[in-house]
Amino acid sequence: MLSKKAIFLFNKLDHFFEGNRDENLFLTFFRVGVSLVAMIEIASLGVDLHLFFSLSETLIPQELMYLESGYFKYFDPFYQFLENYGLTGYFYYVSISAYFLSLFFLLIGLFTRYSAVISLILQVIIFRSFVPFNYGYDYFLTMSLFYCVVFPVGKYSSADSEIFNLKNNLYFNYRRVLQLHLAIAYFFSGIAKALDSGWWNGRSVWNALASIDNLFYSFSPFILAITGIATVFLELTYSFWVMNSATRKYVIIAIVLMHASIAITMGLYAFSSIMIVWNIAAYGNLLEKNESIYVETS
Amino acid sequence: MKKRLFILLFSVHLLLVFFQALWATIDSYWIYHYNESPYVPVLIHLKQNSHTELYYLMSGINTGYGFYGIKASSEKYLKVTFLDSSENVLKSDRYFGLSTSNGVSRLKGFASYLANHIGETEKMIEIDTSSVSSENLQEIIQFRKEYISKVLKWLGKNEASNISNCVSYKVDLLTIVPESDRQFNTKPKLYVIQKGYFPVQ
Repeated sequence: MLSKKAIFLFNKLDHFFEGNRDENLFLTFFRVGVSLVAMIEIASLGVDLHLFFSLSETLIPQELMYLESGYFKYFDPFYQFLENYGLTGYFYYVSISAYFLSLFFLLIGLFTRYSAVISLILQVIIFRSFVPFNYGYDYFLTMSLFYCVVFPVGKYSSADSEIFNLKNNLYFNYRRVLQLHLAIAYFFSGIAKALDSGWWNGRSVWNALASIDNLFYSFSPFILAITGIATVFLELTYSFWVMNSATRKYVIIAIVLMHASIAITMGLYAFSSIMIVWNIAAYGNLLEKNESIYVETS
Repeated sequence: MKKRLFILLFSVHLLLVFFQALWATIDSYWIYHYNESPYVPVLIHLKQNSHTELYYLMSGINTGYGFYGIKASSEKYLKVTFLDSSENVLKSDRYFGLSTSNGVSRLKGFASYLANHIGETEKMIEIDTSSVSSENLQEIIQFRKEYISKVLKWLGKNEASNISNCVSYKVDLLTIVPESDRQFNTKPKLYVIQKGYFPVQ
C-alpha cells in the first residue's frame, strides 16, 4: 500500500518535472541575467570594495565581520591557513579578479559549470566575509549561482555549445524548481508581513521608506496603508495567481513594478534586479517572442 | 535514471527551502512576540542543523524570506565625529569613506544589524536580571557588549589617526523615531541608540 502511494507520488512528480519546450530559453536567460547582475553589482561597489574586503583597509577588521556568523567555523581555519603560508594579501587581490573573470566566463557560457562553481565559492567567501553588510540580494545571488551549478545553463547559446557540440536533449523541467522556489519565497514573505499590523496601517511601509535623506516621510498615511495592504495581498496570493495562465501576465507585471519601486525608493537596485530576473526566468513568456520571430522569418 | 535522481534531489532541495522559510517565519514571529525561539518537535530537525548546514550555506537557502516582514524597522545610521583637545568638532561624517550608493546601502544595513544586536543583548540582560541565569549567559552578554564597543571603536579609528589635532572621536548609532511617534509631514527626528567615545591612540 505504502509503496503504491510512493510510486503514485513519484509519477506525479515525474509528470510535474516533465521537460518543456522553452527550457533552452529559460536556461540561457537565467545564466545571462544572473551573471550580468552579479558583474554589474560588484562593479558598482568598485572603489568601496576594499572597505569591506581587504587585508587592512576594511571599515572594521575582517574577522570582526564574520566572528558572530555561522561562517566563522569555516572562515577562521581558511584565513588561518592563508596567514600561515603568507597568502592573505595575495588572496584578497586575486579573489576579486578571479570572481569577476569566472562571472564573465559564465556569461558567455565558456566552461560553464566550472565557472559557476568557482563563482559560487568565491561569492560565498568574498561576500560572507563581510556578512553583517549583506542583505537579501547576496543570498539570492548565492541561490542563483547554486542553480547555475546544478542546472545545465551552458547547454544553449553558449561558447560551450559551439565548441563542444553539446546534445540538445533535456528531459527535466528545471524551470519548475525556480517557479516553486519563488512561490515559497513570496508566500512566506506575505505571511510574515500579514502577521505585522504595521503592514495593514502603513506604518511598516513608512519605516521601510522614510529617511532623513529623502522626502518619502511626507507620504499621506492613506497612501502608505494602501501600499502596505497591496504588498501583503500581492505577495500572499502571488503563488495562486501566477499558476493560472489567465492571471500570470498581470501578476508578473505587478511584481516587477513592485521591485522597480523598491529599487527607486530604497536604492536596492541589485536586489530588485535579481528578483526581476528570477520572475521573468521563472514565469515570463520566453517562448512567445521566439515563436513570433519564427513566424516573421518564415 | 538521471531524471529520477534529479526529481529526488530537487524535491529534497525544495522541501528544505520550504521548511527553512516556514521555520524563519515562525521563529521571527515568536521572538518578536514572546522573546524566545519556539520549540516545534518535527521542524527542529528539518531546519538548518549541523548535518545540513554546509548545504544551506552553499545553496544560499540559509535565509528567511520575510523581506521587511515582521516589524519592519526604521532606518538606522552611523555617525562619527572627530574632536580636538577642547572638544571642538573638527569633522563629522556618516559615510566612513564610502562613496558608492551600493556601499552606503550596505552601511545602513550594517547599522540595522548593530541595532538588532544591541536589542537582542538588552533582551538577554532582562532575562539575566529576571531569573537566576547561568554563568554562560552572563559571559555571552559581556561578549556581545564588548563586540559592539570594539566595532564602534574601529569604525572611526583609522580616519581619526589621519586628522591632525584630533585627540578623540565619538561614534553614534542613530535611528529614526518610529512612525507612530511622528508628526505627519515633518522631517523625521533621530535619536541615539548607542554611542562610543574613544581617545586617539
